[in-house]
Order: sequence, then C-alpha cells, then structure tokens
Amino acid sequence: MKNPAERLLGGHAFGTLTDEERHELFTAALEDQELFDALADQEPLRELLADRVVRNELLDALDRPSLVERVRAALRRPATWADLAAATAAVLVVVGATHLLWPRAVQAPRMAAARPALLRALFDLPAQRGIAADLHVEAERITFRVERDAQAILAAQDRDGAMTQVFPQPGDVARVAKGVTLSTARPSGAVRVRLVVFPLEIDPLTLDEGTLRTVPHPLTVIEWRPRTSPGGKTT
Amino acid sequence: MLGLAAEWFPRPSWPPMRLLYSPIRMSLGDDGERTKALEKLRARLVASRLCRDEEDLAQDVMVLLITKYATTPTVDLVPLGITIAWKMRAARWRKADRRGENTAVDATDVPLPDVGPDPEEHASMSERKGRLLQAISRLDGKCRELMRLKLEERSFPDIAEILRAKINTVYSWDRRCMGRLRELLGGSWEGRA
Repeated sequence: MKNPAERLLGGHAFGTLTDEERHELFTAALEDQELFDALADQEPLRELLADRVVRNELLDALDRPSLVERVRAALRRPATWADLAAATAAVLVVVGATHLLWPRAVQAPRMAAARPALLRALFDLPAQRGIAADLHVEAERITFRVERDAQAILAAQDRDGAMTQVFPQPGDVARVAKGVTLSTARPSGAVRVRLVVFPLEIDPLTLDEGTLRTVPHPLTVIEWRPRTSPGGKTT
Repeated sequence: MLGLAAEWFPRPSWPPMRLLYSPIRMSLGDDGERTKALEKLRARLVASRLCRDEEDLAQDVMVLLITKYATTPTVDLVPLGITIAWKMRAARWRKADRRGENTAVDATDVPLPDVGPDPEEHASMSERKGRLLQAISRLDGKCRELMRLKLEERSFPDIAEILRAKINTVYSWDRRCMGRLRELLGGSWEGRA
C-alpha cells in the first residue's frame, strides 16, 4: 500500500467512513494523485451504492446463500433417508457404469495381440473357405471384408520370417461386422499376408497353438503373396 | 486570494457573465484552508484521468464548487468535485453522442448531483447494478460478511467490534475483498473489462 489512506477507499464507496476517516482520506487525496485517481475510479460504484434501493437489493443478494455456502450447509445438516437413497442410487450408477466400461478397459490389452506361437500356427494353417471373405493387398494398404459377422486376425510376415499382427490393432477386438470393409496400413517389407476368419463365437485372441487345433473347421484362411513379374520384380 | 481568482476567473467581457463573476470573487474571500484545498483539488482534477481530453472540465467543476457549493464543508470538496466531474463528463459524452459533435457544455446545463438520472443514465445504472449484483453474490466467506456489514452502513470500528478483530485487520480484509469484487466486475468499477 503506497498511501496508508488507501485502506479507507472501500469505506468511502460504501459511505461508511467516520468523520476522522473521511478527513484523513480526502486530505491525503489532495496530496496524492494516485489516491485521488483511485477515489475517482470508484465513483461509479459509490454512485450506485448511494441508492437505497440498490443497497437493499445487494443485501437481499447477500442474504441468499452462495453456492459454496449451500454446499457447506448441505454437508453439515443431519443425513435423512432421502440422502441415503440418493447415495445408494449414486453408488449403483457408479457400479453399473464400471461394469459397462471396465471390461473393455481391462480386456483391451489382453486382446491386443496374439502370441507369436499362435501367429506361427495361423501361418501353418492350410488355405480353406468357411466364411466368405475378401482380402486385397496394395502397395500401402490392406483391405478386407467378411460376408458374415465374424472374428478375424490379419497377420503379415516379412522377408526375414518375422510375423506381425496387423489386425486387430492394440486395444481393438477381433470382431468384424458383416459387409464392412476394413482397411489398415500395409507393414513395410511384408511378403506374406494372411487373413484368418473365425466364427463369431470364437475369440482368436484367447487361443493358443494347442486350442487352435480344437477349433471346428472349416475356418477361412486367405493368403496373399506378391506376384513375381517376369523381370523378377514383385508387385 | 484575489490573485487566485484573477488567475482562474479573469473578468469576462460579456456583460451577463459579469453577474457570475462577482459571486465567484466574493466566495473566494474565505479562510486560507479552503482556498488551498480548492487549489490542490484543481491540480488533482487537471492531472486526473477524469479530465483527460477534457481541457476545461476541471475549470467548470471549480466554477460549480465555488458558485453553488460555497457553503459545503472543505472536507467534502474532494468527493463532491469528483462526483461533479464524473457527471459533467458523462453529460458531455452523451451530448456529443446525440449531436455527433464534441461541443463544450455550459456549466449551467450540467445536471447537479441532486438531479435524477436521465433515461440513458438510468439504463447505464441499471446495467451496472445488474453486474454488481452478480459480482457481489459470488463473494463468499469473510468478504460476503464484510460487504453485508458495510451495506448495513456499519463503520470500520463497528465491523471490528462485530467480527472481534483489530481494526487494521478489518482494513486489510476490506482492501482484499474490494480487490476481489473489482476482479469479479471485470477489473473496473464501471463493471466492464
């Protein structure tokens, strides 16, 4: 505070200064331009507060509890049956929401990728056609679609024999809707792409190479390999 | 004293203005304390933001203070001068807006503090009142209590007693709470950012 009389500014606006305080403030304002300006800036407020009607309206507004006060008051009052019912309903809503949302959240990582052994086993499966499906591999993208709701894994193998799961992406499920064309980026260096389609009731991401053998056939196994042109170029 | 009068109010050449001249000269014949206060008030007004771009506003305020408020206690000259300056400035702006020009306003045309607000002023006040109501109702805790007591016209010593605090503590609370209120009004007491 540059001028001690500044402490009195708020009292001037509300018209509550004592005679001594008024004398101190106005005398100081005559000597101090900054204090004078502060006093002048407050004039619109002082003018409003000089109106008795406005003062009463402001008092009414202050008599209504603020949001913070309402929350505090609600927390302080004794609990009633209605509070218990509301709290129970809130708990039920939270539990219900958790049941709906939690499984996806926790299962997503588990379903994100098949184990390498399963990928190898998938590449060992003989070609077969259970559920009608199409697979197209282009330079940059791979697209596929199934003609029935099903579950599918799309895997790629590079020149070194390393296998990667292309679909489903981490966090996704293997479920594919009927007639929907899915598209994904083609892994660089992929020389072998394999789409394996399972019936809807079989989640391939929960399988391993042993349980894969127990799955009733026929599945759908479609493989793509680059065609080699007469010049030795692959497409 | 007469030297001051001659400097502020040289004898007008237009005869009707000479009628105004005499009371000014007469009113200046009071004690030295009032004259000094008037001199300082004029200097503060001239240097204030209120009189920026309004060269003769301070002069017009002084004319009114001397001619119409000659009996007002010296201590009240500062708030009265500020109130008159605000009203004159607002009246000039409104007049300039209406006419599309920024003409000078004769001191006798200026509404005095006891004159009721015109429709434009009334609209502006009601807008400011709405903002103030909104802002003050967002205060809580100590600030809310302090504002309530001030609206009930309790003085700082009374508030200190009611809240069982030292008066300097109340001054500090008030300063902080007024700052908060101003902030809620958008950083200006006029209620606009």
